[in-house]
Amino acid sequence: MNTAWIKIAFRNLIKNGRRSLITITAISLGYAAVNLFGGFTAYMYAGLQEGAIYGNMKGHLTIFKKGFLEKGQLEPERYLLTATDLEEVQRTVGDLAGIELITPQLTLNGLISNGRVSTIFIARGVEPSALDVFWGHRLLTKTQDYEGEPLRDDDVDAIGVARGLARMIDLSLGSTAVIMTNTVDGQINAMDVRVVQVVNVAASVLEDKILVVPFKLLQRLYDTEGADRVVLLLKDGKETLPLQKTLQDAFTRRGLPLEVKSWQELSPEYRKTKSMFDVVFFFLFVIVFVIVVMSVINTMSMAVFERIREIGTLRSLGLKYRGVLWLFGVESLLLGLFGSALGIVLTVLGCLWVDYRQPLWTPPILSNPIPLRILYVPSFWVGSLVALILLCLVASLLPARRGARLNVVEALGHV
Amino acid sequence: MPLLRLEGVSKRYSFGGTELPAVREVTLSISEGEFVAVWGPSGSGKTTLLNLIGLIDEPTAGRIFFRDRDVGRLTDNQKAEIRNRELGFIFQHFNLIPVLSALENVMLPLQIQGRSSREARQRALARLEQMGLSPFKDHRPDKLSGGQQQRVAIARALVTNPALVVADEPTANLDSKTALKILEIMRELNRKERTTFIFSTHDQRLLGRVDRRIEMEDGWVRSEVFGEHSMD
Repeated sequence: MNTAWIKIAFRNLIKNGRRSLITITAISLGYAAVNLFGGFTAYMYAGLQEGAIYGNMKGHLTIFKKGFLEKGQLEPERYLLTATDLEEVQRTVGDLAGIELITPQLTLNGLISNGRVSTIFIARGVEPSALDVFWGHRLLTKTQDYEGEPLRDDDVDAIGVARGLARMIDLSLGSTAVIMTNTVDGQINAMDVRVVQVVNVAASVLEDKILVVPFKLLQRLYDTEGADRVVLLLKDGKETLPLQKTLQDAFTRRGLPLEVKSWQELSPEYRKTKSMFDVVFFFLFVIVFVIVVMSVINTMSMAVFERIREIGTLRSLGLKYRGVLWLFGVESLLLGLFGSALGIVLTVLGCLWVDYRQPLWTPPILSNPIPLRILYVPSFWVGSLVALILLCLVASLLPARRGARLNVVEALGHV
Repeated sequence: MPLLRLEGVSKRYSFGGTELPAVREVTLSISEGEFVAVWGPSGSGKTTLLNLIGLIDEPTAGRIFFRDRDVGRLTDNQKAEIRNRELGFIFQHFNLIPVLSALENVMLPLQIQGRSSREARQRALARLEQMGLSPFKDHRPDKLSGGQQQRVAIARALVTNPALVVADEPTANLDSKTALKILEIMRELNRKERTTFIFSTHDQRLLGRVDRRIEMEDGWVRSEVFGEHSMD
C-alpha cells in the first residue's frame, strides 16, 4: 500500500482531532461491549459445561444399555447394565487412552421418611471416591459442596441430603432416616440411613429432592449388582466426540447392545441456554456494529465533503477511482484500528475490574450465588476485531464512492 | 506529429434547461516544446478549454487527440493514466494537499504511479531544489507564501517529466512581481527541458514571452498569434 495514503489519512485524523476522537471512542466502546459480553457468554457456556460434566457428574461420555433413556423407567430389569455388562464396558474402555475416570452410577426415585413425614427423593448413587474427582474439577461454579463429612466407600449407610430436602423434613447432620423404593423386581425395599452431609445442590429445582448416596448402598436398596449407566471422565474434553465414536464402534464390533451419549446430548439446559445467549449476543453484535457503521459513515461523509477539492486535485494528478476509495478506506481502517486498540484496553480494564471486585450472582437455574467472571478470549477478540475492521472499511465505501464518482472539474471548483 | 490536436471541439453546460456554450468549435493543434498562452476576459472559455486539453472534462462535440490517440475512446482509468504520466497541472489556487509537506506534495504524482518512496523523494527533492525551495521542503502549504506555494505546484507538475503542463491562471493569485517570476520559471523550464506549456491568463502583460497566443471570446477562438513579443 502506498505510504502517502497512510500519511494523508493519519494527518487528517489528527487535523480533525475531536471528530476522530468521538468516532474512535464510539468504536472502542462498541468493541469493548462486544468483547465483554463475549467473555461473559464464554464464562456462561464454560460454567454450564462444567456444571453438567462435573457438578451433575454426567462426565464427558455416558454409556447406557440401548433403549434405557426411552424405556428404562418402564422396564428397569431389561435396561439395567448387569454385572457382566459392567465388566465388558470396563474391558472395552480399558483399551482406550485418554480416560481419567470410569465409574458406574445408579439413579433412583423413592420416598424418604424421618419417622413422622415422608417426601419424594431423587438419589444419585455414585462411588464416593469418584465424587471427589468430579467435584474437584470445578473452577467456575465452585461453591461449598456440603456441610458435614465426606462420603466414604466403606461407610455404606451414610448419605448426603440436599439442603432444601433436609429443611423440608427436618433432617440434620447425624439424623437417621428411612429411604424406600421399589427394587428392580418391583418389591418394596427400605433401608435405614444416616445423614452425614447437608449438600448444596446447584440446580434450584432439585434442591428439595436430591440425595447423594454411595453407589453400593443404592445397589442394595435396588437389589441389583448392576448400574443404569457408566460415566467416563476424559483427560481432554476436546476428545469427547472422537472418543464417543470410537467407543460406540467398539461396542458395535463386540456385539454389545450399548449406546454412548455425550454430555451435550444429556444436557438440554446447556443447549437451550447456549441458544438463548447466542441470539442475545447476535442482537447485541448487530446493534453495536450498526452504531459503529453509522458513526464511521458520518465521519467519512464529512471528511469526503470537506475534501472534495482535494479529491479533484488528486484525480487530475492521475489518481484513479479505486485510489480515491483507498484514500478514504485507509482513513476508515485507521479509525477502526485505533478504536479497536482502545477497545482492547477497555476490555482488559473491564475484565480486571470484574476479577478484582468478584461480584456474586445467582444464575437463573442455580440455587447458590457464584462469582461472576468475564473470561479472556483472545481468539474472540481477534474475530470481532477483523469483523470490525472490515465493517469500517465497508462503511467508508459509501461516502468514498460518492467522492470518487465526482466530476473532476466540479470537484476542483468546490469551495 | 502534434502533441495535442482538437477538432471542432465544443462544450456546452446545462443550467436549469438552458444550454450555455462555453467552448465553440475549437480546432487547434499544439506541438511539443511550445509555450502557449490562452487569454481573454473572464467567461471567455479559457478554463473550459484547458480542462478539455487536460483530459479532466469531456467535449459535447468534436474530438481531442493526444499523441494521435482519440481520448474520447479512452476509459476513465486510461485518461487518469495519461494525466499522471504525460500531463502536469498547475492551478490558480495552487491546490496543494494541506496535510502534506512541500516535499510530500511533490512526491505525490510519482507515488500515484507506484514509484518507491525513495525514488519519489529523490526526484521531488531535485525539483524543489530547481525551484529554490530546498530550505522549505518540510513546510506545510499554510507556512509558505503564495509564490512559494505556486513554485511547489510547478515542481509537482514537473516531477513526472510530463510532455505537457496545463496551467489555469497560474499567476492570478499572485502579486505582479511574483507573477512575472513564476512565468519566467515556466519559460525557462520550457526552454531547458522542452516541456510544452499551455496556460490561461487574462493578464496581457504576461503574453510577451510566449510562442503563441490564443485569444478567446465567448467560447470562440478569436485569434491565434505566433511568435514571441516584448512584454512591454
